[in-house]
Amino acid sequence: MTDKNKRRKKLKNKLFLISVIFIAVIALSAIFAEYIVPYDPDYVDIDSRLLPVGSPGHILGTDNVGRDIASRLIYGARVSLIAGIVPSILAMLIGAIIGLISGYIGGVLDNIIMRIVDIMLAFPFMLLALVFVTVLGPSLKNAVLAVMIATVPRNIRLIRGETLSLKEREFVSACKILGYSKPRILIGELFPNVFATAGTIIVSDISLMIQATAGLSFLGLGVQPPISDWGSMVNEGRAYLNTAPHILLAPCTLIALICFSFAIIGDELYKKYNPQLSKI
Amino acid sequence: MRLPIKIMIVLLLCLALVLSAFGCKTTPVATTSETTAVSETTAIETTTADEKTSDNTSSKDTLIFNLDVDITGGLDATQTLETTGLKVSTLISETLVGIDWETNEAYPILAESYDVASDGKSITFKIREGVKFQDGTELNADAVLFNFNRVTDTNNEYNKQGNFPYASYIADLKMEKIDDFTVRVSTDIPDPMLLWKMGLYSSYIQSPTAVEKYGKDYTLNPVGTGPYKFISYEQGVKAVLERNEDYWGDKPAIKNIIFKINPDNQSKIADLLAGNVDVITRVPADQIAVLEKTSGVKVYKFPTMVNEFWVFNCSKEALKDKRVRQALNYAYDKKKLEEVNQGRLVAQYYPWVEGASAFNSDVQRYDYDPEKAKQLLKEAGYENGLKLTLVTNPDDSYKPWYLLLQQNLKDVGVDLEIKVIDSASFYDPKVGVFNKDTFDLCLSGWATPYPDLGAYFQRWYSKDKSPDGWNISQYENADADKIMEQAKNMMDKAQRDKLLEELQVIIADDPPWIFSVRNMFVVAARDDVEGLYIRPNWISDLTRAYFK
Amino acid sequence: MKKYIIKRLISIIPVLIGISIVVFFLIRMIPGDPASLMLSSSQSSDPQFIAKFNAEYGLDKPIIVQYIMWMKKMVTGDMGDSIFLRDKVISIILKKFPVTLTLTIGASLVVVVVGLLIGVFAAVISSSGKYKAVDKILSAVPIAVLTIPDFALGLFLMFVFSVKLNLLPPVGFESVSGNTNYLDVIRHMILPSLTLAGASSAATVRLVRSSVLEVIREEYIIAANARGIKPIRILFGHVLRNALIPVVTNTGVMFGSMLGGAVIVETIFALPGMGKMMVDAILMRDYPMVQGGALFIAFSYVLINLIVDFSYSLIDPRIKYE
Repeated sequence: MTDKNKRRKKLKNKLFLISVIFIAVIALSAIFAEYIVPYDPDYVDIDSRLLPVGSPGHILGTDNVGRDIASRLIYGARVSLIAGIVPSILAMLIGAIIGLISGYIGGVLDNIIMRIVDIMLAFPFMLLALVFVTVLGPSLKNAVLAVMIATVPRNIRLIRGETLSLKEREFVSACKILGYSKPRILIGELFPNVFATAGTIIVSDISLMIQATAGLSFLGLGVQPPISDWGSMVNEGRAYLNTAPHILLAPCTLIALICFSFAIIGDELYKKYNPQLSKI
Repeated sequence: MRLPIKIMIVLLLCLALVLSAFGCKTTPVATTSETTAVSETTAIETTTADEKTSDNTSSKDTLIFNLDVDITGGLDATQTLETTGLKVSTLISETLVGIDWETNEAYPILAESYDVASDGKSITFKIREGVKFQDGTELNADAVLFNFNRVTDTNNEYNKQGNFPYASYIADLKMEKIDDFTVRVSTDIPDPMLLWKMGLYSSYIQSPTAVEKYGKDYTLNPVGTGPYKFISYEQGVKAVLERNEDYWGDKPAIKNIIFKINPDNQSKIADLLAGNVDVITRVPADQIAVLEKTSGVKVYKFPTMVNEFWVFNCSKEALKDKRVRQALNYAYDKKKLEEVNQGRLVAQYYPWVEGASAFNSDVQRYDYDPEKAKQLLKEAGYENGLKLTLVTNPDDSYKPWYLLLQQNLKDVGVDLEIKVIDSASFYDPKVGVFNKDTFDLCLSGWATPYPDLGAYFQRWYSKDKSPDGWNISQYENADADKIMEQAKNMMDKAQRDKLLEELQVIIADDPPWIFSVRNMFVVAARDDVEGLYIRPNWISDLTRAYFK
Repeated sequence: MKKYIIKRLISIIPVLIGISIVVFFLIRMIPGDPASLMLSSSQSSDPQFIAKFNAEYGLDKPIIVQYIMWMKKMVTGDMGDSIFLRDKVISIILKKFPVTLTLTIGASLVVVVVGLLIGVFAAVISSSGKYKAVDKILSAVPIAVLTIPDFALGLFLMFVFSVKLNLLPPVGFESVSGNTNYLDVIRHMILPSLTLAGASSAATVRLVRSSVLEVIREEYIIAANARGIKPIRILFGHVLRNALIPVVTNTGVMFGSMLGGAVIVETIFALPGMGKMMVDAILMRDYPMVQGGALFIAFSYVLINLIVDFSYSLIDPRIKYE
């Protein structure tokens, strides 16, 4: 039994290690893209368009105007990793802080915050994105900012809902009886307890954020050419779903692998900082 | 902590059961309401045939035609916007004269005959007698005059109930009633285009009683004299037409036409393959070859007179130089673009379109020649490079166009920055290309409303510079101006054609844009549909269609 | 409780006013105007047309005056006419909303059923410590599903179920020809609902799994277990009840945002819903349509949230409202 457990633990650690290495490799190749990519990611070569995966010289094939997909993926990582990770974490951080305070303190403050959240959530996101893109100029930064603003209120609601139920639990009542201060309860007791939900959401959000840029490209508001990002690559692949599926599959697979890795890393970190879990 | 896994498995099985029940429920529906063929048949063709026969109780008499853009501005031909609504509304109402795009001649429709005055200042129309609108109103000179005033006179009470975006074509003309079935259209200066103008969208004749009855909702309830009458329209879903059994002319073969609205390129193909729609239009480039190989489906390519090009901003310092503009024309590899688009468009080397009247192919022709481009740039003093900004619209199908251009220009040392503006602000006088400060190069196109080069004058005439006119190139060429001024009022066709041919030489030599492509209108249809025809102005004519 | 309901209902009013102001001014901040768009699509230039058009829609007046005029009309229940669709804004919305509502209900059903069952199952498997492989698969598959773009999933389902198997119609809300009834609508809505539910169900599975796992670790559950209460009673009596809170919040938020329309799914399946309507209206600068649509969506959204907030107290009676 203990042998089995050890083996399992080893496997877990191995997976954890693979995930870390994978993300590191992607991040490093993004940073040093100039030195490793075989082609200029924006080089248009109509004569070698729509080459399939595994073509000589083009490992992942080429897209509809003959650009090398592997090179574009590596360059795209620069944009997409930042576009996926930074806003997910930021949006959750902001959402968690406001949600915790609103849920725990309650009363008038909660009411005001929730009304503002209502306005933000009920607001047509498309309009916001279009304003950002047309007034501030279409760029990935503005697209991501729009997507992030649209996500924060959802996080506030989720965390607040959870706080509402947490604060009625025995351990919070116990803390109150022991005379802990409000901030101490908030930071020391409530925050770690919403961590699990928050982590789950961040991991799902990373892929959603990357794809939100694809959604904006779908509406013609996405990243401006010639910058390549995974989201607009996904959107470009849409038209070739039945004739050249690799254009779509390549970025999708990469996004999936990145998200897997983040999920595994997240799980492991969570267990490390929540020693209770190992008891069960 | 242990929880009963067995129970969970039972629950999961329940879920599977629910899902399968959800799926089962659909099968009986399928057999009752729509099709009898869900059973074993995997071959698409057979199932569709069955579906169609059970759909309509008699033999096949309903054509389902896919529209890729939603209808805007309603279905009154004088008010509808974009070519989508015109595909529907030009079946409902008619004009006095029509344009035969195969011979480039006008022909009488609601006019029995017409007489163009030799001074070119007026045309007398003899209106066909005994024609009735679909609501029973008689077509006569009063009805024609009513329509003319409704579109052109901004003080007319019916003009206030609608928006007439094509009004400027006929706004400075005058119309008078001669007798009950004769009207005369006149203008102060001779106008060789006068007859064409009476065949444009602003001249489609609507039933006066219906206009009075529906007021501002008329465009949602159009009534005309055409071969089909309007039955219903659901925004974003469909428009339904039925054959006008009292039509004055030859009745069309197909009894009902349903225009189904589905703008998505992928799903409209699925819809065609599943046999739920008979005709789809604007097949995406890379699907043309796939559909050509699919059994049960036929692909048609209709040549159009819709050109698209990259407009130069001739007011910019670098582009004032003719040599730079010529160089960029040499640098663009249009043939490659044709290849990428697999029949959806053809490379366009001339200012005017082949097949139209007074077309001249004996002009400066820009075949791909990067060396010559470099040499011309060097002559103009730009051998060390040039930076330009290109403004284009967000439609994905243009992506290969500008990516190729960007690469081609890079190859000759021109750095092209691409800026995408959304379609609604594209022609905006402040932020769009109507403001000459916003761009060096921009995407533009021109769908000639009639097969005469006169339709292009506003793109080249120096007094029509934007923001007030359509000369967004800020193009100015004294010789061209002189010819256009002369040709504008010239009634002698032979002499005028000669001038127009000369104009094409000037334009080609001093190019206002990078000549790029001429669109083909690609249609895919079920193979039992015959007689499809798309006019070169992008509008379909479904009166000739029939089922095999 | 009654007082709380009334208070919340009254609080909708400032939300709507806030939205009306923001939407009204934002849509006018975007460059481009409907009149020049109309002229560019008809290839003509006609200053007379622009003047007449702007006068007709009151666009020549100062923006504040325009807002007051619009608000005055709104109070009397008149949302105005759509510039491009030429119909009354309210009657267009009332035609589109049922489509979106049907799609939303369909997708939410899928999300809740799939999310809860698979999520709880995954949590139980994980906490049992056995069946590690199943546990791995159950936590990996949702991530994979999350990364499939909506349109890829939709087109895949369409080609399999409509083109290859010819079981379900590929596009539309109902058949364009022949008789339509509610069964016909259900057949049309199966594929879009599944597509729209795809990513959300995957997210819900993950959410349920993690929150059930968390509740299972709580002292009172361990205590109940120790007292010898049947596991099945613990699962349904205690664990699920507590794990439901984040699920309900998430489903509520999702339901609300789906009511605003799912542009991509609506576009692919050619559904005449709210999302497509709003996007088209914004892209064409159809001011009355955007304003009316935004207010309607906001109103339905706030209403849904009210219901979600109440359901907390149904699931967990300890949550009180003042």
